[in-house]
Amino acid sequence: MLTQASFFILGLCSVFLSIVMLTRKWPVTAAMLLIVVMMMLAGMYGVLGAHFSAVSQILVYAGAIMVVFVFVIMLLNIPTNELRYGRVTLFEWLLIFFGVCIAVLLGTRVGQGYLMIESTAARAHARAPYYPVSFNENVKNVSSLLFTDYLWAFELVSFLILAAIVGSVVIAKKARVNHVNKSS
Amino acid sequence: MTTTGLNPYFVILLILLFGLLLGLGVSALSLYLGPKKPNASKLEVYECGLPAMSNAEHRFSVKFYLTAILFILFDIETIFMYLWSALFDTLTWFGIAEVGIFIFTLVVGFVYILKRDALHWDNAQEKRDRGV
Amino acid sequence: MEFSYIQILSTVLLMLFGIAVGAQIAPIMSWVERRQCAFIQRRLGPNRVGFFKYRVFGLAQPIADAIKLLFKEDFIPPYVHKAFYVLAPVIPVMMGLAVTVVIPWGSHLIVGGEIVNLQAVSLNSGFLILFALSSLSVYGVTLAGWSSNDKYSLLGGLRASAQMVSYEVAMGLSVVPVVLIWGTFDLQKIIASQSTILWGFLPNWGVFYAPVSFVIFLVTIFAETNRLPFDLAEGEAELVAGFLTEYGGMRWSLFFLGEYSMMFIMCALTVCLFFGGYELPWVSQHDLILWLSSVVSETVARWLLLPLGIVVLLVKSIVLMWFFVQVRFTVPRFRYDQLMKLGWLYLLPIALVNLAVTALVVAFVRFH
Repeated sequence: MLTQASFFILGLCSVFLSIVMLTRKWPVTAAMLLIVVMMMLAGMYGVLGAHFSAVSQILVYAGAIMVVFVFVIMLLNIPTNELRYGRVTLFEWLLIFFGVCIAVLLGTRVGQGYLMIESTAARAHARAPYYPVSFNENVKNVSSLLFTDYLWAFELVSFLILAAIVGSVVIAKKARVNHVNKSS
Repeated sequence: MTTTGLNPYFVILLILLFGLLLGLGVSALSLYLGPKKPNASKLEVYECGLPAMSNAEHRFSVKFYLTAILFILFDIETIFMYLWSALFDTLTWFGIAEVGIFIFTLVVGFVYILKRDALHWDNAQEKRDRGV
Repeated sequence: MEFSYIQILSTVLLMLFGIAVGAQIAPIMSWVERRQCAFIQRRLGPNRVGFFKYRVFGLAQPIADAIKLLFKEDFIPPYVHKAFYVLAPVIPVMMGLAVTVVIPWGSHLIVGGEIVNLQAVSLNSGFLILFALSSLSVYGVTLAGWSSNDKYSLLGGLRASAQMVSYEVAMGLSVVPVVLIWGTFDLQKIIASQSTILWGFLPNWGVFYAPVSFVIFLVTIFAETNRLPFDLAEGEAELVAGFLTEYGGMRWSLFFLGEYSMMFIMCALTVCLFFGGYELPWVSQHDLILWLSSVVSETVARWLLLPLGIVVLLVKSIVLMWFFVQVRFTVPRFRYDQLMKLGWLYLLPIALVNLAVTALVVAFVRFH
């Protein structure tokens, strides 16, 4: 019961803060609010027992990805008078309306058995992980699944990271063809 | 009937809130207790005592962005390493082989970074060090 | 599911103890630094501020400093972004106090038939929450630099953040061999494994199993807490005071409160991972309880060992803090490009190679 109550409180707060974040004038305020939302998400993961997800949410998302966001905002350094703060156009009202519709649909349908076919099939194929570990060891459970059932995804992640490394270096560095000819 | 204590995440939330209140409270206390004597030179931006030359609005280097992006990527690698090390004894050589492939791919990326001098912070100083 | 009042009370008390340690470390360290700096430089340092007529080695100096800082004019310059200017010093304080809950102050107590773990937050993810919270303290520096609306502060803040962020990679990777060796993230279990004897004459400490990890971790803690030789962001000769330029009085000291607290907790974590935590070197608490059980009951024996564990942990951490202060007044400051080169091009490959070698050696020893 307490788990449910904390989940609802954290969920409502994060939804409210996200909406507040979307309507901010300053990008830095929005970024800081997003960090708070990330921490609330981590709290939700933790309350539901996914301890490793909670820690990695803060470590990677709030502690690394948001740092990039904040760096970019600060490096771009857009002057105050150029920040757009005008009326919401008709197109944006339509987008908000469809967003609310999707949110209502997701909230009332998903997990209520609407996708019953998928979950029955999943349960039929479910089996214990190769290295069964005890109920309280979340990190070891995740680890045992990652390196047995989801090994292919794990190795693909390494290629994804390699692509990201190459891509970011290419974008950030100007192409230098001849090192020798470039005089100081 | 199982008994529980406080949820650990609630404890962390409490202590973060306490830190927030402590910090804001001490600042507010100092604001209240200190004298208030504004004068013209205090109101200017500090630039070694000289009048301000330009606003805080000019371009900064892209190296900060690159450092942060590379930090994300290596941080992701680190959390996978945490996962592997937790179950090292059960995964034995199979686990080492899997993680070996993962790290090898990342080492390829790192060698690319080294070759492209992406993390090279000061070309001018290195040229001076080499005596060019 | 009913609540156990003993557990809740003990968690709250441990939390308050952690807060007390974190908040009091800054004044104590400020005195220690000034005296130790003075002794290194062959002078005396502050030794006059005392109580009434007694000088007491100048121990009341931090109190005098705190009173002075409180009564200084807290001037918020009109050109700063007020909300972030006020918030930025509070973030290191929040994180510095929050990380104190992960440190185990002792093994456990038996109160009213229940086992009370002497660690306020004992999560499945162990000490990772410490790294998570310390990675959030980067925002304090970044916001401080940006909110001052001054290009020098902004540059100083960005450089300090980039530095902290670069060394977090090596920090995380250097700890992985330690987890590999002990097989768990739980600090209590790691300390318990370190309480036996290795090769007959050495305590079974982590530093003998993973010395390279210890060295890398120590270097990265220096960089994470912006201490010399990595304190380019705060150094007086660099960009005025970097991101701290527009801060004065109590706000300035809040940054250092958070920094010292984080420094102490990182030292305590090093002690828990590499030097046996709250366990005495050759005499484990288990042995002591067995020895004492002939005289008193186990419950009372554990209560007697509680102050011993805390004192041992504090003494070991203080030795590391002394080392921090020694290094500050001995080693010159790194230049920024040297700093970044060390973090990315030296520490990261060394940490990776260390991880590979440790994994292979442990695998050979255990799986053959």
